[in-house]
Amino acid sequence: MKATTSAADSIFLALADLDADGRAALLAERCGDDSQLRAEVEAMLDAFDVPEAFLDPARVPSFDPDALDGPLQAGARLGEFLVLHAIGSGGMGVVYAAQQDRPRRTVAIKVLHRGARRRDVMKRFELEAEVLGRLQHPGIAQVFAFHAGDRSTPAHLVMELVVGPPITEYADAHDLPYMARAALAAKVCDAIQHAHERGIVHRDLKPANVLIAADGQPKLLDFGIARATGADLQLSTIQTLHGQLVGTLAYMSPEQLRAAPDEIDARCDVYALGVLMYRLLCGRLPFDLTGVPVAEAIRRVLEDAPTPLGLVDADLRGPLEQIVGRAMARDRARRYQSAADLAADLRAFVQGGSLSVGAGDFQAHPRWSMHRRWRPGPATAAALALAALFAALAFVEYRRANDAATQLDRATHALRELSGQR
Amino acid sequence: MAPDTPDGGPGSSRELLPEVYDELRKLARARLARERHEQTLQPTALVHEAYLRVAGPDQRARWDRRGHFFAAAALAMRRILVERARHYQRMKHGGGGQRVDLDSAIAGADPALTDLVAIDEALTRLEQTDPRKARIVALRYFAGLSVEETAAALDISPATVKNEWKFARAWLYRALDPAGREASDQP
Repeated sequence: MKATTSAADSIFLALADLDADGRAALLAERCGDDSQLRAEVEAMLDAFDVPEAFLDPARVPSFDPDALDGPLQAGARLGEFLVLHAIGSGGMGVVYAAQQDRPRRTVAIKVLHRGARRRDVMKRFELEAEVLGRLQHPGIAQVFAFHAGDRSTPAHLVMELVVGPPITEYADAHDLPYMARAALAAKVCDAIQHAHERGIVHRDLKPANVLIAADGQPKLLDFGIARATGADLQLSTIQTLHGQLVGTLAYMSPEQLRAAPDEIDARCDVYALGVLMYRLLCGRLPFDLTGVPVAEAIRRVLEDAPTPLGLVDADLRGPLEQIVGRAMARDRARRYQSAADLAADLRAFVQGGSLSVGAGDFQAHPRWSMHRRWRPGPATAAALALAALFAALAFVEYRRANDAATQLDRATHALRELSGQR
Repeated sequence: MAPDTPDGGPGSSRELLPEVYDELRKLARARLARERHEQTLQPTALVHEAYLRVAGPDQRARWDRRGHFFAAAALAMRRILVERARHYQRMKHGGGGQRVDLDSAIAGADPALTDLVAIDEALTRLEQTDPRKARIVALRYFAGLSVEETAAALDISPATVKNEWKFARAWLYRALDPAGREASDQP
């Protein structure tokens, strides 16, 4: 294209409508004595022979039927909803803004991928959506309904529409001081606590799931989705194969990384809150997992000690470092036992009160309590084996997206049996 | 027989788009329900099958609508394919956020998909200089119509379609790869 002027292009295209004589006449007329232009058009005419395969309809790339669900067009109807536009896509599916007729309101609709539409997942989603529907808190994006889908409508989740940046982007854009960041984190804790009191653990807390609405209120998205799908132990691991080792894995608690479902309780959210605060306060993650293979990433989170906040930024020495350190303790028994406890300490810090993280906890060990010597045990071995298996299976997934979820399930079960964690 | 009016107006292919889109989706879903092992669909075959379903037994009576249907289907297919190809490209270049569309990462591995983005961009440029040729390309390539079907859909002669298709192909080929012209001279 670079060598071709648009004048030559349009003359060339116009020639199509004419017979041979007409072409010669038009060529003479339009090019006049501009020999360069004429040469260009003639070169195009000379190069008329295009390989057969070019633009051959039989060679239009075939596509995964999911592609039809991906970009729903504006104006398409999904049950009682009118699709307005796509908002983004996540591990589970594509999210759209949509208009509901009655009550008249704008909502967010998450259309699930076919991969996420296995029957057992649908069942769990239905149960989960009912529970989630009862979560009503200003800090939680309300779940309105779940439709399991049918022949003409894909499965979808209807939620409150939240417009706003992720918490970390918001804090940086507003150049918030530490105090304000801590206060914001306390509000996130409140919402988490509300859910915990109703027996619901988020399991997938990360900045992308904590948006700040226009009024400054943090809003949590995707509550309980990880539980419905088991996605926190599956998707995140595969994604890393595509060089996407960010987000999810960095926020997962050691017990999640060990794939120990019996150990997953409210305290894994407390851990994730700790990581979130770490990131919020100093701008980086406690463990740098960028470009690190899955097995090595898991080993680091399970065995290594993150750089204490105070060493990243001397201003963070003292209470904030202690609060984050306790939230992120590797041993869940040494963490804050509830999001409310964490919120209380954050607020005490903001208001200058005394913290529950006392001298006994931290001053005796200037580095964090989570630095306790950790001995590799069968659980880590299992986790590493699991990671290797995920990597292998993900390769299979690459070729056969459809069955991989089932295979992963099987692999997980097999491993749990092996390691006696069932 | 109304000429195609892709950019709006009552009865235009753009107005028909959601309906055609819906039809394509229903069909894809029905196919999946029938053949569980089917993983991918051939776009132009899907378009034709969808048309047979919409048109019903008396297809001749619906010539007028047929042109619009295929124009809308070509548009829908182009969007679906290009959207997916773009998504794949984003993935390949590291993506943006933390949230990864896993299915796309897998389904988009076909290198032919990435060519689609370039074809789409070139076709958009062609639309500006010569919209009719661009429409012919869309109908032939994305909806899989024959020369005669394209002529009927656009209400022009088959000879014109043939002629313009030839030019549009050559133009697009050149637009996509200026160096490819020299290369193709070699046996």
